[in-house]
Amino acid sequence: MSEPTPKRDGERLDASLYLHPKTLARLGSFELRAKMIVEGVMSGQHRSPYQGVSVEFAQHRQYVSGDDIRHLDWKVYGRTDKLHLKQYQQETNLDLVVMVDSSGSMDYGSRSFEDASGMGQKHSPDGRVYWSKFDHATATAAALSYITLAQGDRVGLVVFADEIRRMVGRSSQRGTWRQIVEALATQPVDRETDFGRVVDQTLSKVSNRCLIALVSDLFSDTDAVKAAMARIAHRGHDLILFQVMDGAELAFGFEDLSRFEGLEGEGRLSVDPRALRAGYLEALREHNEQIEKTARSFGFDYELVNTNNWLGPTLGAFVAHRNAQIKKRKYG
Amino acid sequence: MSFLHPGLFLAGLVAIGLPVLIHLLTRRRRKSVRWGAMRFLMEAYRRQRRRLRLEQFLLLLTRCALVGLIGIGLARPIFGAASDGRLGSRTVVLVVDNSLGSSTVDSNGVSDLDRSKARAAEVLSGLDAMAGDRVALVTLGGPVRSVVMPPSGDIGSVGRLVEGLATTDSAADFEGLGPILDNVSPDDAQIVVLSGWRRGSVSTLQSSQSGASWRSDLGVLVSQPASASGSNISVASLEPPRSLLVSGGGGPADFANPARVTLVRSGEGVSRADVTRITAFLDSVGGTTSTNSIGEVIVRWSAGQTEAIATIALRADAITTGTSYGVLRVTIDGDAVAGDNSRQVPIELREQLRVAIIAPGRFGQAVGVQRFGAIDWVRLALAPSDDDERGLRLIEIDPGALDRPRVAGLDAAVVLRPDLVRADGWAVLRAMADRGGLVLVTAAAGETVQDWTDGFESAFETGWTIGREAMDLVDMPAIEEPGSRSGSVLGVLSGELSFLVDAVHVSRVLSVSGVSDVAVVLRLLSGEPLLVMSRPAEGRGVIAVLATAIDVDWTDLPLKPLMVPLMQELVRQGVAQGSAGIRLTAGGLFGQDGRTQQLTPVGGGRSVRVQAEGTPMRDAGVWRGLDEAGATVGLLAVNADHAAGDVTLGSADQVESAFRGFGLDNLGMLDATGANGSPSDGPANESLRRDGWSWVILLCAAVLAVIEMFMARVVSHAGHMFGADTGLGQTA
Repeated sequence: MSEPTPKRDGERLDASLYLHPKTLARLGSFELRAKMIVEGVMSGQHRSPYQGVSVEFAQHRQYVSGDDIRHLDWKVYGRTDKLHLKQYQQETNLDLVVMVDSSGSMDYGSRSFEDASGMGQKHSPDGRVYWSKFDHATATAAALSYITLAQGDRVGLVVFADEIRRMVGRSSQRGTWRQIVEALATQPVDRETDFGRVVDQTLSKVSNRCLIALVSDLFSDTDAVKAAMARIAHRGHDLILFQVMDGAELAFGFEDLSRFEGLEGEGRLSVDPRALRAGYLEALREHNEQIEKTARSFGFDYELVNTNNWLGPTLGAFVAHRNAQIKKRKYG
Repeated sequence: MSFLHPGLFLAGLVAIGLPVLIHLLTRRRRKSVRWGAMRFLMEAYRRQRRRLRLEQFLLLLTRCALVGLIGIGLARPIFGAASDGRLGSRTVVLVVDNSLGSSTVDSNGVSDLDRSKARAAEVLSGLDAMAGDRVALVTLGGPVRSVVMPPSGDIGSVGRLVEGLATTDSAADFEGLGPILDNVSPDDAQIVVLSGWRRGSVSTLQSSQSGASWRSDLGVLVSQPASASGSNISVASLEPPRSLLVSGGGGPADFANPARVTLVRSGEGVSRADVTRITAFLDSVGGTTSTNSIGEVIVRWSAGQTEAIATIALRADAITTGTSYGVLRVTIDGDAVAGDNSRQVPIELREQLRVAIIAPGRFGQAVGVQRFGAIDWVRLALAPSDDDERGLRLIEIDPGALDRPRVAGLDAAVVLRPDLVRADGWAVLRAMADRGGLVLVTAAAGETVQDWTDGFESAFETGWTIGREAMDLVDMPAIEEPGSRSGSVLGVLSGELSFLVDAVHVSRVLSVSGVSDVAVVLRLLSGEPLLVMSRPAEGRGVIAVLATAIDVDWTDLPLKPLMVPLMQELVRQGVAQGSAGIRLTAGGLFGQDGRTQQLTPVGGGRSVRVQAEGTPMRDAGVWRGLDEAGATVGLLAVNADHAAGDVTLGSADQVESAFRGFGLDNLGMLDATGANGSPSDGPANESLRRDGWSWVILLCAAVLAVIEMFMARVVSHAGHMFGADTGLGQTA
């Protein structure tokens, strides 16, 4: 059985395509764990009594006109005769911004669609017979969004290539997930990647701290990725890197003389792939190690997602890592 | 360098481009893969580009070399000087020496011809009809014979012809070979001369150089001389007492004289003392070979002796009445060359010879020597006594009465009064000479002016000019002409001839000019020809002119002891030369005599038609000449050319220098054959070997193929794929 893939006609979206029963079943335990983490803030299971407000006091500040008088600290007013507002650390609310790469390189896939979908479909709604990295990225993004929405947190979506091409504002409404899925399903996959520019555009639209889930093959220059991560970290956001790669890209097991054609306009190269395999894998390994190392240096999570593997373990590993990070942040 | 299969070589050259072509085609037909991680592929390519290009270039070079080597190997290259400039199909002219000397057998019974055949088979096995190779076959046994010419592509048939070659009894005919080779086409044909190169062949090769020049551009490969020595004794000559035996009323008186046999020996046996038994037989023509010898003699050789002359007495009772023809044959013991161990001469047997004395008739016989005329002297010489005509029957015919009926059946005519012969009489005598009779003409005694000479000259067309007036001499002695026909005509008298002739003096003589030296039998001391003999043009008989008259006023010959034997031998040997069998040395041509139309071997065999240009006779034997009606005309005895039977080993230097004498520029010696007959290594043989270099090159190609496989694996890094997941490309 394989994970489902969504239909992209934009009209008959079926969430089950992205959340294969097997996938959902695997995620069940993590949802329970998430429920404990968010302490009832999540929607769907039960409503948090401190909705929108952190339970832990952070600081006071002077009241200015227009502030919500519900947050006035009357005890301070009684002692000092001054109006101060109580500010709390929002630690249980999770704003998730899922950034999905729709550049040309994401259109590569070696796995057959029939095998990946697991539902007997031999080709995608748009006629493709292969399961592309973008397919896998959208499945991942949908799953993350579903989990987040199921926990009652807000989720937003950014689809990008050389710029932001589609965006869904953060929301915790149940209909958000449908908007996200629709945006992913109808998104063309082409153009080159301009990672720095996209991150800048995204950060300009996000004011509060949030968790950014970047789902991309990260076939960009490591310096550009590093600079983008630095800006994300500087703005106080958290970042989870999902580097999506096809199994063929990881193994490079071609044997026949082939003419390789770059999906982002890199040109063509006619080579004996066996002769270049070692060099290719070495370059890829160096690149990935550099990405991971950079991510770790900023305290971000990094996960290599192989499109030949099930989505469930990938998300499980993500949630496990994420829980550990929250625990660490909360309890020091 | 050239190639036995130039087509394959050219195909190999073209095929060298195949790897490049395949490379280009595969580039065009390469599977296109739309690839996401292109930047890493490009980076890997940039890192390894130089090494990859070098590896690919070396691999391509290896593959091109591999294909080229296979092409070259299959094309069977030929290296060395013998292959200069030849790229097309080959043409080989096999010249096989099957002369008498090639029948020399070694202790194993293998003859030189057998070795030449084996060598020829090797040469033929190196040719390929499919590659356009052609071969011609020429045999040297004289006269040289073009067995296959022009060159044929049917190499198998030529091989069978070579296998069936038999030795001849003639000498190698190198003189005739030159014109054949001059017409060989193409110009780059390879001439391969195979012979044992014993002295019998080498000497003919050397003797044929004088004035002969072969095409200098001919490529000639010559086999090495034989190494197996042999010993041979040849019967070089056999001279019977007469070739015409007349039994007459008194029995076979002609056998009173012995036959003379000359033996020649050669080879390693010369250094030893030896014994040879000579046995004579008289075979009747038409019957089986006689097993009863009629004479035998032992020749004892001393060490170093190469020639021996033996006389062998023949038993007189061998002649049986009624036999017309026979063959006197002598044989010796077997040796390395069998063909020259016997010799035979045809013998004609007559009961009686009819001799006409052409002189005016007279009444009664002269009484007293002082009254003897020419007719008396001649009668006395031919029939010394009335009781014993010794087989000669004398008939007197008046010169004016000469006509065909009277002359018919005559064997000889002695014209004592030619001045009385009319023109038609001369024509009758000419006809008699043409059919084989003897015509002896003497000067007319008593006549100062001999006006008959014109009629004689026009009738017999001898080319002689006989003076009309007699020259007076002062008792000029006669002498024997050395080297003249007397050796055969007066052979029986050879022992005493000079003494007999010296006693004769001549007082009057007719001048005879225009006579070749060989026609002069006796000459005067002053140089004037005394007795000349010749054959009439296109006739079989003999014409003899005695330049003096049988008269004591002209010469004292009638009174001298020479008179009787001279007249006897002139008549008997003259008739014999005109009518008896013909002797021929193998290798000669039997010329058309006007009567003989066919030659049938005595003892059975295939008859041959007599050719206008002469019939080549290569094998020893006795042949019966038949006319158009199938009647026997005469006998032809062909004997081996004993000179060709000299088995003394020749040297390579002798052979090479002899061939150089023909002006050849491109001459090579074939390598020596081993004991098993296989050619050894050497540059001269490379043009005739197919596989010498081919296997080496193909072996190199095999090694290169292994290297190519290794390189292909290394260059393609196929080893990295072990255990690796083969990727699935997203093809465009």
